[in-house]
Amino acid sequence: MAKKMSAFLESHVGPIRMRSVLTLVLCAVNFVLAYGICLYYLMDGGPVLMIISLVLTVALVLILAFPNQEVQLDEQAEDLVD
Amino acid sequence: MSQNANLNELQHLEQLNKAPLLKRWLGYSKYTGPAFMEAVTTLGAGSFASVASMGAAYGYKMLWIPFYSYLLGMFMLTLGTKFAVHSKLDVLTAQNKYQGRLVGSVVTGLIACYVGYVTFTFGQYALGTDALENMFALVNINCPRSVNWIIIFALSFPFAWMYGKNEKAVRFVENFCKILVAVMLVVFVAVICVTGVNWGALFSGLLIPTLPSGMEGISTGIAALISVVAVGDWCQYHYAMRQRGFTPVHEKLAHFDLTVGGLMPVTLVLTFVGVAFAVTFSGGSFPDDTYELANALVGAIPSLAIQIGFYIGVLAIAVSTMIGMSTIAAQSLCRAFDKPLDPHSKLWKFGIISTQIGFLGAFIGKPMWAVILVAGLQSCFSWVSGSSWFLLSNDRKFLGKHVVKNYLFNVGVLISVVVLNLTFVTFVLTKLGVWA
Repeated sequence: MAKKMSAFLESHVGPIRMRSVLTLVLCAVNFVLAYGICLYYLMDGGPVLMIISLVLTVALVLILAFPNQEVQLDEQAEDLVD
Repeated sequence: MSQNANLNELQHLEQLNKAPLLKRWLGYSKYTGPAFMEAVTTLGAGSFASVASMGAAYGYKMLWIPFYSYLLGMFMLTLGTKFAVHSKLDVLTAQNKYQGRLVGSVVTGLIACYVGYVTFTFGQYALGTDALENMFALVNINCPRSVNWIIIFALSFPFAWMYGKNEKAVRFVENFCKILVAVMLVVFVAVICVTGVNWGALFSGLLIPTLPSGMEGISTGIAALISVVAVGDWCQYHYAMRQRGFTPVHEKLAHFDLTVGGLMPVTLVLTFVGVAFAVTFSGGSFPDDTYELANALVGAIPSLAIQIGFYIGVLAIAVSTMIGMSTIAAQSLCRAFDKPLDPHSKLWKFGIISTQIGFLGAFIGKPMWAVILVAGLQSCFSWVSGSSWFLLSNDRKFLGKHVVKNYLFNVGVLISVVVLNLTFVTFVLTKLGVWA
């Protein structure tokens, strides 16, 4: 599971890593979450947007937290001290 | 650092890393320092004003904020350690290389560190000169702000100027900052000894987070979690470790330093300040202005010596923060322009001198338009730095086998990123008139 998630997160969408794309998606989802909070607490709207974006935020955090296990990239790490 | 001294330190640390806990901690205490540089940068006029007003308004209930905020900040500070000890590149250079100059030089270097701290020095001078004027007034000496700013300059500028010149100078400035932190702890403990303290309420307020219900609670919670440790503080800690030449052997020492030199002093000083204001004002009326609030507190202290001590504590806050802000402003300015961290270079000297423009705070206070502009810029861009540090810490091309390996640690970093995202979004929504 951890290796599959790592491979997914280190795959590329064009020139960009999936992990970077999902980190940007997390920011967008957080925008919707904040708007959902406003909608529910300040504008007498329903809680649906807030709940969906909160669930998505939690899901994205749980997915993005999988560590990078792509060992072959270590050979390209030229800036390491050790 | 001379090669012999460096070798001795490394050999000693290698032994300590394998030593029993107590012996290891005692041995490490000799080498602490970078986290104190970070702590004095964090313990500034802003955090003082924040805990003073929260103590006065909410009593003991909000004492958890500095503690939990720093705990959350420790995830990012620990990434700063990882970058400092395992990579030849400093963090701004790494961000430039792997994510582009907009993320590294512009957002993290210039906006978060340099422009941010130049602006925030006004508040340090404003708070420090006010404390000095009132302290001298206690002994019937007239020493107005227009004159006494020179004392803050004289106590901070030489230390900021010498920092980075050589290993001895770095250690000397670190030790001076340790002394200032000790002064803050002693005088604020003395203050709460005379104002009194409810220990049960203190521990409850410190450890059990409570928030107002509804929208006010959400807004307070988001602001609270990033109220203590900011992007500039992460960089300060990172560059302070690089100044000391930390290596992978220093990694455990860095974690110890962060707890003893960062978490403990920041939490204790801010908690004691919060308690003093909570005891004196909770349940009653109090001034809105921070300076009047501090002066009203002193009015409630019966002992002249402790009244003076309180102002010395405030002075220590202003002076030490000036040193911290000047040094990180100079370093970030150099790296943002790809220049070496050379204290003899014109750019470094410009970085140190330009932060002293804050002395104008003695005459005009904080320029609110600048503070609002910079706070706005930081709200808009801190999430970029946070996301960037998260991605760097999981990039094997940068850190190789030293990338974050712990799932829960990554969760902690991501929670910090989410809070930074929400700060950015709430700032935008507030400007649009949606988030009231």
